[in-house]
Amino acid sequence: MRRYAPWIGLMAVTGVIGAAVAWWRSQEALQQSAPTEIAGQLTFGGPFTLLDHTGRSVTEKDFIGQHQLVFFGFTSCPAVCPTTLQTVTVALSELGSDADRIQPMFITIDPANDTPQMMAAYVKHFDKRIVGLTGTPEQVARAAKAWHIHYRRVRDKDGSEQIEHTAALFLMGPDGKYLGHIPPDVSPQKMAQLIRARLEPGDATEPVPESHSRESKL
Amino acid sequence: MNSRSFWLPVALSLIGLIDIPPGGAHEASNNGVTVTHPWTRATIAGSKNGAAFGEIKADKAGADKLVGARSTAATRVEIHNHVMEKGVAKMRRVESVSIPAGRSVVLSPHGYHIMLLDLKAPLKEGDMLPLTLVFEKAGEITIEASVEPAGAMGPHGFSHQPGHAGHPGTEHK
Repeated sequence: MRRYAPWIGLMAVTGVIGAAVAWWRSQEALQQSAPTEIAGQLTFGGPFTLLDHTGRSVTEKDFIGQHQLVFFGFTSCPAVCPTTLQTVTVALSELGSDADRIQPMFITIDPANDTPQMMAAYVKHFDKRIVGLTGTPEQVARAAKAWHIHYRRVRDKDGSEQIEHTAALFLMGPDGKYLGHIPPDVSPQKMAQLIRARLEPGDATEPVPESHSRESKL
Repeated sequence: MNSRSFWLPVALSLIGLIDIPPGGAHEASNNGVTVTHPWTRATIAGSKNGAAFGEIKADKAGADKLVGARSTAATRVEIHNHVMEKGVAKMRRVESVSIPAGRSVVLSPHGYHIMLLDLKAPLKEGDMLPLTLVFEKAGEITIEASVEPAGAMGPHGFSHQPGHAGHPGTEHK
């Protein structure tokens, strides 16, 4: 037993360092995410009418009864959006059967390009539960406004066009009420943890550590 | 030799071949700069842009600078940086990325990457993307980037870009 003692000590030390790094990273992610300062004064979400990726017209009422994970992006976004969709995909698989209680919704902010067919071709690369939503520019603008999404076309001097957009994810309750938001650059494991902590408020199976409860309150 | 003892090793070696990523080099060097495991993500029809990632290493002998890129698969290729400002994802075009001597810089979805604008055709998983990177001192390095699934976070067989986390590099606007 004694000869293992140094190893156990080493494992304890690396564990503490790992936890410290994880905490620091979560704090860093927290600071980079937008609605931190404004949450509490604003609500996120509201009425919308959009087309899902099968071409069906849907409103916020179609998603009542399930938690919703709402995020915005566009199919020509090469770096951020596929990363976010992949993080959601892995987080849902981490959540196991709990993931069936969540409806992930990917809403485009590029309706001119992103037809329901484009959205269908895009979301099929990720978790099957993710629904792609588009609509007229006005319908999309209304949804984006409801979630306080900043999006703007930026053209550089060569005419290369990019769309800047708020990349945070929003967790909504089964009644469609805003529960908290998740920074876009967290790990899938962290995302799963943040979602699980909000699935049953006040009835979490595990106590929510300080740093997490701060994040999920956003 | 009966047929079974002949075909078994043949079958096994064929299985082995399947796992070898198709075609292109995984590493290419020129004048002290090495590009390793370049990769990109599959895009859907109608999606105009793609992005390529990988690792660039400079020899101990001297620092260099990535100053440009091109590909026959896209109308325009630029070096971009992804920055998150108050939760808003922004892409910034940069003129160059410094590769310090003896260090690597990782091009990733979270930072510097090669932006492929106006793709001539969608990038298909399993294909190889021809890519030429231009360095200030080392000159040009041409390599093929593997086209990974749309949600890939790293090259074939990796969940993220392998190698050292690397130096964040220095941006020159």
